[in-house]
Amino acid sequence: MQLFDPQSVETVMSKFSIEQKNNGSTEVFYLKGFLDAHTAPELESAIAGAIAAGQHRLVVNFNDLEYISSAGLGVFMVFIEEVRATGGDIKLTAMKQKVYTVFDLLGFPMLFDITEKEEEALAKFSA
Amino acid sequence: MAFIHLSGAGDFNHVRLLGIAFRAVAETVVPSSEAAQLEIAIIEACNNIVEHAYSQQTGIITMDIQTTSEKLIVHLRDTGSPVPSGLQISASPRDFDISGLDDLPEGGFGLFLMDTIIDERRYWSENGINTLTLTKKLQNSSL
Repeated sequence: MQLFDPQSVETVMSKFSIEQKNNGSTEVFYLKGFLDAHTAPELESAIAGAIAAGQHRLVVNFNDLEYISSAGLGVFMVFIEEVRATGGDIKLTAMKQKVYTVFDLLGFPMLFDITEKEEEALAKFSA
Repeated sequence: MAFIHLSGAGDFNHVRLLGIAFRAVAETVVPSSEAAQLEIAIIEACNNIVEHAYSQQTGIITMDIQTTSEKLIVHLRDTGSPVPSGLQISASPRDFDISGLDDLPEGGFGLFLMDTIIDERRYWSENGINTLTLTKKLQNSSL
């Protein structure tokens, strides 16, 4: 049994990054690394910027996110009421099991639309 | 019975490494899926230390992991600011209702997660050392 995975350590040290893609009607955020109290302000700023630019249909792709702490999860709580009040939503997609577990333990699947694939999240906005 | 002692700087990078190291140890006594959940609780606890105890100063987090045939016990210690009396203890796993959007909290989920995953949580501060003890009862230990 390998107790310490060098790849995991490398991933840990890669911290956090966000890429954004705008297709006109929807803003998609691609998260990578670790989302915690230290990195959450970066995501908060990115989402706030999109909303300020008039985007209220947001998709967050977690495919490359290795971990989310409760502080990271709180970012979505900051904006969910605001975007839904204007007819938009924050849809979450492509979570690793470890990330989904955090949402699931808190009962958030009742509150957020969580899909397996990004295409499904985008399609829900088109429906 | 096994006993592991770990320590790291009280910052977020080292919290992540402590989480990885903890999970590796936990996987020797519980299934991988359960170790992953326990890692979530441990990281939340360590994050609290970084965010609160060490918000105004730097310091070390020590983690003692103790396993018996019945329990996995983690002692987390820091020398930062102690949690004000009552604040650390009062959060109940069902303190808030997440079924609706009204009055949803934007934080405070860490204690909720810990209490959902861990069987017992105790916190005390003595002689400048803050100690948080998290205990998980084991079903089938392999040690």
